Amino acid sequence: MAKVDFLTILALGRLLRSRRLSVVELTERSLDRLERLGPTYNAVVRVLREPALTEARERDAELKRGKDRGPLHGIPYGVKDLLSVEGAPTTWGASGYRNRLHQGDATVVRRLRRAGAVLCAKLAMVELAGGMGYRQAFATYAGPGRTPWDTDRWSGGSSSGPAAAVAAGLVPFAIGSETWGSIQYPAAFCGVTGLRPTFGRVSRHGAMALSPTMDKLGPLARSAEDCGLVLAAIAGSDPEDPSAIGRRFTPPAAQPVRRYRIGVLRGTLDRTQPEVVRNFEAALQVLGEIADVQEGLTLPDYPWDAMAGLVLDAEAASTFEPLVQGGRVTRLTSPEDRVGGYAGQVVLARDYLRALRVRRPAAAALDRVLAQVDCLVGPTLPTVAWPLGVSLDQAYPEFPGGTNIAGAANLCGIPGLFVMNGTGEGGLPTSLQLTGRALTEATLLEIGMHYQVRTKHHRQRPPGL
Amino acid sequence: MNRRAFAESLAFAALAPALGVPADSLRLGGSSQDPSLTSGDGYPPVAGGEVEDAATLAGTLMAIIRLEYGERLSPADLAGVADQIRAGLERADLIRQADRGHEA
Repeated sequence: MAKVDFLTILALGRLLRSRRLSVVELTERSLDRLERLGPTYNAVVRVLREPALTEARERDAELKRGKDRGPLHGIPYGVKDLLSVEGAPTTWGASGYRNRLHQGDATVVRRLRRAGAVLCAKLAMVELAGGMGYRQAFATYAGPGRTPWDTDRWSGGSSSGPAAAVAAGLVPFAIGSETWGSIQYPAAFCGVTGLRPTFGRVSRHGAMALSPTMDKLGPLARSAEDCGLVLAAIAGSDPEDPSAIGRRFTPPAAQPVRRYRIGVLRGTLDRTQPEVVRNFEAALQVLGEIADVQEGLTLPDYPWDAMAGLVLDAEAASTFEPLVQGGRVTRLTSPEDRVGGYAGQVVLARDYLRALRVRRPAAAALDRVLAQVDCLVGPTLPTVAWPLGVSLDQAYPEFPGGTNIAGAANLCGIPGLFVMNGTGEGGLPTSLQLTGRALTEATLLEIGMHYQVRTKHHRQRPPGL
Repeated sequence: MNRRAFAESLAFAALAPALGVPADSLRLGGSSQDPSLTSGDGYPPVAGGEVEDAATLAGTLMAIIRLEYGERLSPADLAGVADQIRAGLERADLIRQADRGHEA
């Protein structure tokens, strides 16, 4: 049975369809691991044992009568605890909301149920998805997220639980969210594959809002192929979320369809840990088998991080205004978060509107750079996972990293794929990021799949698991 | 007086009673600038005057925070908020410069 813990969605599906494994057996295995190992990583907020087993029995019965909902049929999964699930509290990682019930399921949860996936757990996250400017890994009532690769290191945030749960073989995939780095960091620190979809690709109905013009929901899984299968199930328009777009997403083909063009930003390896540089250069060699590499590209000259920061501050201030004005911020776990919401209350409308206005030409300029290639690649992060107990802005101060596209990418809502590309200091995972034009997830996933066919980093397990 | 200074003087005049300070004390340093020194959008150019403006504006925004939330924030908290406000205004200024730079 232990062999199933790290199988991909397609491999698990083959076992289920050949009756070598039942959905109930697979679900029980996942529930047991969530209960037994989840606390080790502070990854789990609530295990949904009874509802999961009920769903699992229904999916088994369907398979017996020949009803197959597709590749996710009978596959266990977890969601970041900012997605509403009928009957289960949705806490947003904040102790003040521990028992808060939302009505109805988030659209993503509804779609995954329709696709046959079995929801097993709500997973831990940084409180309010980091919207108050946390600087400590313990900024959540669930306890600091610990990467399964080394429990003295941070799992990343804010989608801490989803990444750790996938990395530890508790669930085959999970749903996280990213406003600015919240899939990127956990995917890198936990050595899993994460996909940040294009803004609007996935409905956010039933998800906590942090920054309405920057929030995205996306999968964390064991491979690029798995991320594609999950995205195909959750993408699409939604009358409940006007920002969700109707463009169809079809999972990519596994065979190369053409030779790709890959770009590298100038300065992307500056002030980066040597092992991260080494693994990136090795990844570039592998990608050279399927792509022409163009080095020395530059980001358009805009204050990307300032724009993303100002938009995020202003929108989070509006979203969390009742929390700040009512004084409930004082119940947050992290000291920084208890005072982090005040400055945003006085962001000037003219500055916010200017940032939105400048975002349009900036996004167009960024798109012109991205149009030269199929994707940009770079290290996902300049270092391995940060030690717990150190302020996040003090971890590896000597390696702040080089040219960073995260602010620009999140501001402009373009997709990113994060895949493990080796190990570095302390045997911890390092990661490769691919960034593309809006709605090019299929291309990113295709390239990611070719990389993962040629390397086995994504199959590596954390020590002892 | 340029358009921005005029608008701000109105806003500060309205704000002064709530803050318990004379309106004159909230006047921006740039408000008496020569109109010929303003940029096309009526804002003063990014120079020494802008820095002075930003400091005064940060102080005014901080006064609003003190007025609304001061009772529940310690001096250390208030210092942290002041830093965040200053950082936010610096970001806003970078965006303003980019806006102008790309318009030019």
